Amino acid sequence: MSREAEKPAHGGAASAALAHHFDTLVQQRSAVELGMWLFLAQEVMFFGGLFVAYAFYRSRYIEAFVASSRHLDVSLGAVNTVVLIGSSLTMALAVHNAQHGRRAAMRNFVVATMLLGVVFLGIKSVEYHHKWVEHLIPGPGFAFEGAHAPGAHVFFILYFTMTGMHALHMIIGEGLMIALLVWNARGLVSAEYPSRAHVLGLYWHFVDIVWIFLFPLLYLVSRH
Amino acid sequence: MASRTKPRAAGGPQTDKETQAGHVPPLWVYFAVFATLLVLTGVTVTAAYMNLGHWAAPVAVGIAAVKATLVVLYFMHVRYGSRLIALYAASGFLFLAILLGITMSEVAGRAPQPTADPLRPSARAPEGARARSGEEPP
Repeated sequence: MSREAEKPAHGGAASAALAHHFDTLVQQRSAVELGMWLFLAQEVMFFGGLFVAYAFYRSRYIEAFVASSRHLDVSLGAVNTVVLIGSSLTMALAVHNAQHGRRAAMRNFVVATMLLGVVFLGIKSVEYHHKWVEHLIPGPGFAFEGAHAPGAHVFFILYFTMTGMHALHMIIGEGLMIALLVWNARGLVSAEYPSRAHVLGLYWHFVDIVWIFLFPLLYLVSRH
Repeated sequence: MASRTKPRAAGGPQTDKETQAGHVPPLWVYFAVFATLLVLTGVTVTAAYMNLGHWAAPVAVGIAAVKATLVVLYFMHVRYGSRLIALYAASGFLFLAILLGITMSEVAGRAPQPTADPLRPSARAPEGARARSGEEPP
């Protein structure tokens, strides 16, 4: 595709969204999205290390993991799962509106996504507080009744590391949503070039996927 | 569903709609995926309260994998994107599968007994740890 052939389709060289090092907006969009996917592949490996550590210790201390998992609140975890899936829906709708150039609707759905993210973090902090009260924070103050204390200690180290890293990604996501609102207000998100919304949506959905795995592995080890 | 949308227009000429708005699924798809994810969340909670024995973990991870696949295909538009995007999306999970597979196959070949305290594997079950944990030393 030559530069000259592509220009008319995008209203000539006047397109402000086209960076100088790309020939066309289609090319630019492909590159931007591929870059985010490469980052997410790296994120899969980052969280993957934690999941492998979890699988290893679960196989060695399954009874301790069962006992520890029962100290987590399934109701709060399930509510948070629904909240996060809902935030993925609003994020998808925000991107959908961005792709159709509806800036006001996109802004509203981004704000809704952020609010659901805040609800998630609020519920998570309530859960963390419960663990503090119950002396389940790993470290010198950790106390666990029964024969499974060592394995339980490992379970809660994994619990706080995994959910903590996930929560950190949520907090970063909230910051990215603020950036998206600013970009949207400046007119940098358009039907012609919605990629800023699209790639931040990819990030948000990825964080949702991490939780989709964390919820059953941590909260639902075995409840029967 | 497959007949309504045309996935993988990779390499082919793009229509005006595609170049203007990217490959976008119809709106109802998002709500259908959302509803399915809610149902599967209910299923995984229900399954956790059933006595599935050794199948508990595979079932839980399997349901989570289905949910993640739905998010990747529809919310993240991989179903409507290029093959290159799909390859990138799959690559992280592929290498994670290798890491997990090799690690766990090694674990499966180990002797069954765990150390008394995984946080201090070098300590051969000191009195304090044994008294606290109640587990037998290796």
